[in-house]
Amino acid sequence: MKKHDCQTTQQQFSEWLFTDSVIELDPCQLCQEQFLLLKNSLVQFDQAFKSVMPEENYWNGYEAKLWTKLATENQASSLPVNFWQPRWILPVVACLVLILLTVLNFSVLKKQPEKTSDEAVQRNLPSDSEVQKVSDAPKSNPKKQRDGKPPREVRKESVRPLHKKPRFLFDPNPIQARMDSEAFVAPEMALTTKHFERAQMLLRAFRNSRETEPSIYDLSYEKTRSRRLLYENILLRREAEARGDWSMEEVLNHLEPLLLDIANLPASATADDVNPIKERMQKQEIVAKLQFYAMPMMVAVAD
Amino acid sequence: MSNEDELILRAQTGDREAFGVLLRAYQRRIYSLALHYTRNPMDAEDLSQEVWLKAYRSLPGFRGESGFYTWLRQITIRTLLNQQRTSFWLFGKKSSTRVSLDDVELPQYIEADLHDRLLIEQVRQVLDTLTSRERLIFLLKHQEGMTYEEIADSCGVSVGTIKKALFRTVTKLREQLGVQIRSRVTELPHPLREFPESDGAKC
Repeated sequence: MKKHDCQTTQQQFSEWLFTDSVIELDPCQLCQEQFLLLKNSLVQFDQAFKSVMPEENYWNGYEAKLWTKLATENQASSLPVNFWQPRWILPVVACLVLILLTVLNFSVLKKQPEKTSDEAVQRNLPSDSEVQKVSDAPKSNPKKQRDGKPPREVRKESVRPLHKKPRFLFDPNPIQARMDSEAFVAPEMALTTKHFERAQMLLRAFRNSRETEPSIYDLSYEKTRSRRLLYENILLRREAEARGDWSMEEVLNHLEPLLLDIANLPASATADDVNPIKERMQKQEIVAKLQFYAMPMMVAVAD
Repeated sequence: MSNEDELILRAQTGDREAFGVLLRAYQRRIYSLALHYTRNPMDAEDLSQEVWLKAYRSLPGFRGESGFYTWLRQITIRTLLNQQRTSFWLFGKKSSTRVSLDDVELPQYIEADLHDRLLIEQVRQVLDTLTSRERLIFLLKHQEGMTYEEIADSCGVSVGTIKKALFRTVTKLREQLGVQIRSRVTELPHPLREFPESDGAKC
């Protein structure tokens, strides 16, 4: 007689719960009880929700509201395009603002002449009053006065400039530009860039995977990596949504099902398992999308 | 040609009355799916109406390759999935207007049993812990009776993912309900109780 295994039986519950056919469970009381309870709770849950359904008279109002919406939509589509309709104004204004910002950026950069080293040192020097303030400090030290030694001279080189340089994304000084750009890029954006890079690598590796044995793929690494990326993706997607960054959210949203599928591949995946995912990747052009969306951010955080 | 096909043809040529008949035939099912998903009557109404607006717009493109309801359900699924991107309540943030069982007028046979009320609340809590995609998968399987392949096709994921999502949901249900199994099983009024008696053997 075949030995009953509760764990195996209970793993089948997800299949059996949603079928209408009669299920013959092994004569194990625990499994039977659990199955009954699950089935019963779903039945009760359905009944509870049926009672929330609106009454008959609700549907007249529902239909009327829908027809109103349809009429409004038809009316809007039949109207001639208004000159002041914000449909075209918004992109035009955005373009103008961009052009203005670019012109301003370049004009300010142009106005800054290349300084000689002397001028640069001079610019970094503190004002007379500041020097005076610093040099006064040791004089008031009684110990130094007792020794009779003259107070040390203030090292002018060590004094930091009081005024910072204005920040520009395309600064001629690469180190300063990097510091500035990093200051501009929010940490979550940098995380997203890294995530996109990793996802790109994973998807490329997956796309280029070959059969190790006849019609068997060894994708254990890709699966593990995908699982990790999936959690990261969920978190980043939620963050992007909270920020209201819809474009980023959409890319992450497209990426998620693919990561999910790769993570859920069987241990010895066959061509039937792998090829549909590859086809979807190709169809969605997800690698190119990731590359495209990561690029502007990469410019900002680049060395 | 069936009556429905005729109605569809008429609706495709702009006959609003025909569209109205189709609307009345399926509006409850679409609303019910949206309500199960959102658990908020207001959101369910908005979403289901959005589905009908989309259906009206794309009806001329309907070629009859699938049933009308299947086509309509596909629009509903897409609308629900798109809603994820624009709504906050889908990511675990509680909606203040969500249906609570305290607000629901339960039928008499449910009101009579406090245990059942608790049971339903527990199922609801489990559904709250699911991601929106998992919840949708569960509803499509449980409420709509779709096959794994159909759900996978609709949601754009693999069959394996669907099975895993359902398994996770059932596991959560088991974990949530498992505590009271021993005390409740003898009271369950369900035809499935007709199981052979266990010999009490340990597993």
